[in-house]
Amino acid sequence: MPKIPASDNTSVRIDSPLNTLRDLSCDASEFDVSFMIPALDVTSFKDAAERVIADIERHPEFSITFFFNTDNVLVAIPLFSPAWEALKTQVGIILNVELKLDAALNFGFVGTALLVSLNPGPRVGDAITFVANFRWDDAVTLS
Amino acid sequence: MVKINGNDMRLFVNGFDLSGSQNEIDLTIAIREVLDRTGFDDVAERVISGNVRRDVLRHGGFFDDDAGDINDLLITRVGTFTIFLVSFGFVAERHSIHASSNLSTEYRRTSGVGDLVGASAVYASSAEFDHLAFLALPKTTFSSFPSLTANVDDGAASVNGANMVVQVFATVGGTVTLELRESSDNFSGDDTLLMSSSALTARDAERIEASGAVKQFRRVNVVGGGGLTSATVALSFQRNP
Repeated sequence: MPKIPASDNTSVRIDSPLNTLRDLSCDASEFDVSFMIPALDVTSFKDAAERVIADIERHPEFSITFFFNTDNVLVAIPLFSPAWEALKTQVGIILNVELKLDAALNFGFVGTALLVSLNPGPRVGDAITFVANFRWDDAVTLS
Repeated sequence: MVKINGNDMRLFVNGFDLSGSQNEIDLTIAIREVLDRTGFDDVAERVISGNVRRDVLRHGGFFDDDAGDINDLLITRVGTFTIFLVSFGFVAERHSIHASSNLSTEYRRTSGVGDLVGASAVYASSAEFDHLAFLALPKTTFSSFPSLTANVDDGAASVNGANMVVQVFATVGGTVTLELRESSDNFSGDDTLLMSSSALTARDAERIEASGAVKQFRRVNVVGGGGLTSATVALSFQRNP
């Protein structure tokens, strides 16, 4: 069965500002995202085993790692857009986010998310990167 | 698109250049709270920003007790406010982040057999970091005054003011003043002063704000006073969004 490597079909697209879709895939190197519906404990005294029901969707904070680059102008879709330029004014803003494991096969996560923080972490001997941390707002489409 | 080597970072704090002893920086530009607004009707969690920012700077690297390095800077500054400038690259117009009102909360020194002695610091902000800035004047030594930098075209004028952080590392013989000059016609006829630092000397830093309209073109004028023969300075500039 064919596995899917992270490849040029893995994409990160974010509306920044809202309703201005930007493809940040050329700057993105990693994302770590979960789809979660927690279990609620409804065990009562008479139960012989733990009983659970599903909560609503409550996803943990997720992160995307981007390279920092020297470009300081935004380039229109469908070309690449420097991620720092796209995101630096959006902290505290809810944005449309599309993360595709494989855009050609359409596997991924699509939803709206609050940009909670930007964390540049330069180190001597490494290319400079920054992490953008998001919190999903409302239902996420998992495909 | 050009990625940047971490070696090209620059870190200036209160007129001290820590780039030679520090080798890691952690910046956080963040909202302080995420507020839960989920209602009974919602099928998924709903959130909104708490709208208060909490920005943090940490840096770490090697202990250095030379005059002008981390120990000389921080041994007396923990518990006081500092002014920093971090640039992602050391040439003009690289992205930068600067701020004043940063409370130095921790200065740590570490040592172990077989290791170099380490030093790190943490600062908490009582105002937002200016993280939309550019390095308008990289660290440069001037020996004639006044000196003008190259004209910069920001593409358009703006209306929400601007701010800058000035770092003065060394002066000989007098004081230095840094002017941010603006123009509507690339300085072919129009040349006005947008904002200016005070007359500063070595180991000084200052953040200056200007309100209202900011013209499209800008440049920096380095002005000497009181018999100044040499000054080493840097400047970071931000148009407010």
